[in-house]
Amino acid sequence: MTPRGPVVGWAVAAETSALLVSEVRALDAARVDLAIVPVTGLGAADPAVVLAAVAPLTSHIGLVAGQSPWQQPPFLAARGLATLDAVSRGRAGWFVQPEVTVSTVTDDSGRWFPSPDDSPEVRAAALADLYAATLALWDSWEPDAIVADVPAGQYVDDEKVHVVDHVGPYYSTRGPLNLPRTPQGRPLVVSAVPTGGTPPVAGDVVVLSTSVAEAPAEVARIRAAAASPDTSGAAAPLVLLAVRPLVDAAADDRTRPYPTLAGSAAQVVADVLALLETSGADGIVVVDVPKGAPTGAVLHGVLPELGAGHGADPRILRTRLGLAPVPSVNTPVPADGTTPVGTPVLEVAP
Amino acid sequence: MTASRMMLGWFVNFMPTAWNRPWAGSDPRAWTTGEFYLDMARALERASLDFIMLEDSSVVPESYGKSMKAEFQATTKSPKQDPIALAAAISQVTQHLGIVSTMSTSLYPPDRLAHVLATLDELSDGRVGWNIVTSFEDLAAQNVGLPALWQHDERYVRAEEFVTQAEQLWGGGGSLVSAGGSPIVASGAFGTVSAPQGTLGLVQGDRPLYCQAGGSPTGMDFAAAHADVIVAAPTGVPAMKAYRDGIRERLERAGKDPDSVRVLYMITPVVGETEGDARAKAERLYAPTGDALLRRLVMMSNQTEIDFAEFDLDAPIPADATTNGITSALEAMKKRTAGSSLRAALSEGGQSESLSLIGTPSSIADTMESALEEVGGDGFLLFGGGGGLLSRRYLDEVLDGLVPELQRRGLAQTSYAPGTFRERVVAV
Repeated sequence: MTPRGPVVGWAVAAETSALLVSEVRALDAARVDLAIVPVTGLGAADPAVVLAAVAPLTSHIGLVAGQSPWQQPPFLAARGLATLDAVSRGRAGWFVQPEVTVSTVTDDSGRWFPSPDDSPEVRAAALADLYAATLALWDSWEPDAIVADVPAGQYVDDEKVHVVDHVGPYYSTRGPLNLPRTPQGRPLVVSAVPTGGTPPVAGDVVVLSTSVAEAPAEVARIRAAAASPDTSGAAAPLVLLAVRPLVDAAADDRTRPYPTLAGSAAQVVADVLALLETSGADGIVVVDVPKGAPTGAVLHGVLPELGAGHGADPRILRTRLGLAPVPSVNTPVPADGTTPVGTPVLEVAP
Repeated sequence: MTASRMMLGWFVNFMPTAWNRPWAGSDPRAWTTGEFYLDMARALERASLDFIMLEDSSVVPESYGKSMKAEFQATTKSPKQDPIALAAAISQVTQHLGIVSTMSTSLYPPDRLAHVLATLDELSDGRVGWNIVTSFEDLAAQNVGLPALWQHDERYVRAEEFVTQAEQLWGGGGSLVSAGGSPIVASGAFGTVSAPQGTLGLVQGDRPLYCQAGGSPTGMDFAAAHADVIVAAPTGVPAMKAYRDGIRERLERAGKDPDSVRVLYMITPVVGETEGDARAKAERLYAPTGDALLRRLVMMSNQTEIDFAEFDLDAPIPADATTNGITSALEAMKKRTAGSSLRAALSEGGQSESLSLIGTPSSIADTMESALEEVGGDGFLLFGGGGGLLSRRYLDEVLDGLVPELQRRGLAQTSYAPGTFRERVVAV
């Protein structure tokens, strides 16, 4: 991994889609690594759709779409997020928000909603089932399935595309996905946890909301949990701390689940670096900074000093964040016993 | 009444472009980024076309030869990416072009569909359309947790309820709706939708523009009841006229203005510099050999779920042949191949198009003009043949060759009227 500054994400508040588009473009120009757009409800634009619109207008920023697992069946979610990864040339992410109910639909087919029982245990089991189905769909095409063999007249090698046949307690999907493996292998999976919380899925990035004092222990706890036997095989997630940087403005008295770092730009930079140093976190996610001048002050006064996004090529998001390539579970293990890894299907220059 | 001009749309699949034929370009995988289709949308807008329509399906068929192999040679349906992401991206690189996306009432939850289309409507500032389909593949149903799709007519009954629920979520559906963020509950015979945080209002008012392709009587009923734009591929001028008259009768019976709906016919013009050029090109494209023959067999198998790999190409289909697919389709093919052969039957037509348009821009424009005069209206839906066939060269031939000829004759628009997509369609 090339030396780089801390990972910097930005939580983008719900807005009209035109404002979301311009805000994510501004974050891209400032070399923010991840734009995280949470889903809130039917009353605000759908993040995955807006980020697909932003994709051709941006070049580096990770486009992390908030989506509740209960919004649509795993096949449609997997297909939509995989396409976002393709059209962004390897920059898509899924911010998994199981606590959000956008809307519900129940019909006589019983297929849209996991269970009328919304106890935490049932929801956790349904999410585990849905997540397994989603990963299986993303893995249903091997990395080199498109052969485009003109003499043989074969565009895809059918032996490298696999029916999924996922039949779980809550969801079933036959598969395969009808589109190729994505540039990242699979979109980046991001979740958020409060102090003492557990990530809802074993993803790639955990955004932790905690105090400065508790941060070191909480980061260590998240890392230890990810390394525990019941999540064996999952790569250690990047742990990012939610922070609220305020340049040249006084902090108010409101209590928030994440720290407010207020002061001069130099002071905020020093506070962020100290927080990362003591906690061992991989970076920050900027939250709850007012739009306009306060946002500009962070983008232009703080981020450059953190070294954020410097040396930001290559453009495949996982690679840029230093994450291991996603293994292709359907690729046979080579005879020498090494683990096969997925390679990006394509990396097209813009 | 004849419309003052013809509406023109282009129907396209988010699939591989030409990859094993001339003018394929240098990268057979580049289509996945969508850049080809963004360029295409820009080119359609330069040519003042009314809209782009994005097709959708979600299966890798295994009908021909009981495996995916032939499908992955012919690329009639897969690989294909989600058209929603493409529609969203197109909204940012165009200003006037209508953007119609296909979404299935059998495969999407209604609340998800309403949210997606409302977002596209806002992103495009009122230029989105919904091509309403009910789907037909059981494999697609199995992807979203259903063992099989409902039978044809039941799919349309369910689609009625689906459309009503979507409209309630958009805020145009009547008494269940409360303004500004109050909970909505939309109940029907088959299911209930509830949205705790209210609706997303549309730039286009109570709903986006609706497109529909209804071929069967039930489908035509549904199209006449809902659609602003109806697309169809009846073959030949008399069938085109009969289809349009059938739609207009339905509208009149329902007390609606028959001129409020536009009927568009599918075409894939083969454009040459001379008549001879065009004929030679069409022969290379459609001769029932090699790729083109396999493509036709795979498409027939996918549509009918009959495995045509089981039959001898140079013989009639045996009278005792049976199928797990659509029995009527097999019986029809038995009749067509009796005393002949499957190969001969497949060489007759097989294109999904209303008019065979092979010639120069001028002669093709003549045919289009006289056909619409006889039919009464309203326009055409251009198509480039589907997955694995489209190239920038073909787009240029139509958009820089044929369309300007139509514009010179005053048959096609040369700029866009103001207003939302729906307002512009009504004003044609």
